Amino acid sequence: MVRSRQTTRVTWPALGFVYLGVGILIATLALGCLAMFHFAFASPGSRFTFQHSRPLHVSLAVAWIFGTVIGLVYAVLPSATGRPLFSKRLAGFHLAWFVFFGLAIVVALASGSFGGREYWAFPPIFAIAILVSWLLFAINFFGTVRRGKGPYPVYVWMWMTGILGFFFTYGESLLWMIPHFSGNPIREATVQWKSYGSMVGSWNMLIYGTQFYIMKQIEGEQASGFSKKAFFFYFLSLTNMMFNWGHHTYPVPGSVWIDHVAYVISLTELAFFVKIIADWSKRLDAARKHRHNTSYRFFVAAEWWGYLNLALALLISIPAINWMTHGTHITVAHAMGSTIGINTMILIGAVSYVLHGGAGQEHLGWQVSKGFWLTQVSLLAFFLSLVGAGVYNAVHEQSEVQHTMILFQLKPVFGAALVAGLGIAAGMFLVLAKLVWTHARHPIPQTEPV
Amino acid sequence: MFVYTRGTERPGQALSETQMEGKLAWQKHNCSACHQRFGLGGYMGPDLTRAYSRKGEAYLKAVLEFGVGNMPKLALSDDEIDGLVAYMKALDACAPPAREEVTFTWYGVVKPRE
Ligand code: HEC
Ligand code: HEM
Repeated sequence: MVRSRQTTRVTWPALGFVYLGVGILIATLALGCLAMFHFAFASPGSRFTFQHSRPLHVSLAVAWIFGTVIGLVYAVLPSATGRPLFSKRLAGFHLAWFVFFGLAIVVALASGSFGGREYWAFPPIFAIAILVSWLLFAINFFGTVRRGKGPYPVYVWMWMTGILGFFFTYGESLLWMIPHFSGNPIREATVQWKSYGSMVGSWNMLIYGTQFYIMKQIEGEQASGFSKKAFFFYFLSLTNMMFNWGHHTYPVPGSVWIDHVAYVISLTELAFFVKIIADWSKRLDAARKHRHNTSYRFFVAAEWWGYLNLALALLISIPAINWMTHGTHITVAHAMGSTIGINTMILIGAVSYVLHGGAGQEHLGWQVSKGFWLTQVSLLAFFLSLVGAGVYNAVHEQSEVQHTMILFQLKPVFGAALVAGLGIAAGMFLVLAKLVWTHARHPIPQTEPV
Repeated sequence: MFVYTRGTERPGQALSETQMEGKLAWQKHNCSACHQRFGLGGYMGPDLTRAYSRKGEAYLKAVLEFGVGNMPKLALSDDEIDGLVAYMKALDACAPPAREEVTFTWYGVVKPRE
């Protein structure tokens, strides 16, 4: 298929979000290492402990994923729809809003002012700011899409669903403020698990949509945005978004049948996802792999981490194993294995594409190459040490051993996880520094082929 | 949405006032950073869903007042401590069965022990 020469410039708010996202990722990594340090060498009594570092790390991780994917969608939306962004100024305002309230949340968490919810541990008043932020995004997104004409390719559907899904699931995660839910522990826990599970589904929609678009661009095959397989995947993900919470609710007493349905759908989705990347990388010719080397590598890395996560997910979904391992570091390995191995790998690849892919200059030399491998090897070590700690914990938690004793015995393992975490941080830093530095020095390839 | 809250109705489950206070104290002091309820939360300390029946009221009170091992001594008022213990009692009352109460089948399903 012929590619038109027409190009669109990536807008500054989009670039702002992407740069900001990179900054947040670096902060996430630093806080993660600090949290792991607190974990391994806890000193109860000091003023800044795991109680602070964990919520900060987790909130930043979520902000990295959402903030960056918002920037990426802003960046590619004009060329994906063939229309300019609905309002650049609104996007700029969105960026300012995001920065302002992001900083406020960081300050609240660091100073120990907690709302005390799992994962979103900040005071609930900030929920309003987050909803407004998404409203700004939604206005710009739908404003742009509405001007284009259908039928829409699969990635536009995915973005659309991701944005609407966020409103729905985030709303649900706020239900605990209503007494009907907060007065009943089981109901509250079920709703909470459910909303988080589906929220991950909504960000996956945004990420996968962006990735599909970029894979299509790299391949230069316009038709792939309409392929049956891609739409099948979309519907699978949609079902998953609606039901995947089921596989998170084992520890909560409640209805059971839905767990099994959810389990099959989630694993099918993941299997299908790795298959799509595998097929794509098979079709891609050597020249394109070279020109888009960084995106290519990170996307393929996501495929491999997909396999590993699939294996772990299969294991921990067996009810008996889940029963033993839930609440140990096996769950953490599952959570970080997928947020780092899949989501973050895709996002880094996509950031590289937006900053350098338009000019087809993603072969960025040894620094990216070294950083890439350091990240992958460290992540494997990180993953394995978390699983190791989890197995040990699962075996001993049932005995009468004092919990702190288990932590003490596991110190070497957490120490190893810390070293591996530092490796991940160093590796990613090498890559990100090169991506940003090269782009900042040569801001010409801010364009993107339509 | 109501699909998944079905099956959560159990008699005598609503939280009393003291228990509600405990829950608020839980949120204010962010116990979730280190503890789970029904498996949700941070992973430094143990899951507290069943702590009440596993450890007993006196032990929980002592832990909250003085800390133990890596559990910090948090600045909790007496009322907060009473509330937290009452809240953990409520969690315990609707907790899933303990290890002694279940068996695992060879094909990996958890069943209540006869
Ligand atoms: C910095 C992390 C941290 C925070 C915050 C924290 N805990 Fe803990 N807690 C621990 C650790 C670690 C243990 C295990 C101590 C041991 O038994 O060796 C523990 C143990 C306990 C125990 C004893 C459980 C058992 O089975 O032995 C109770 C009860 C408890 N914590 C309640 C709370 C409550 C309530 C809060 C909030 C007000 C809280 N904790 C906040 C880390 C924390
Ligand atoms: C891109 C990078 C990262 C992302 C997206 C990420 C994401 C997350 C998420 C989602 C959780 C919550 C897990 C759960 O509750 O199940 C978490 C917890 C945690 N992460 Fe990370 N993480 C990243 C990097 C790191 C690094 C480099 C380290 C340090 C070695 C680290 C250390 C931790 C620790 C100690 C916890 C708390 C686990 C617990 O409660 O015991 N993370 N992270």
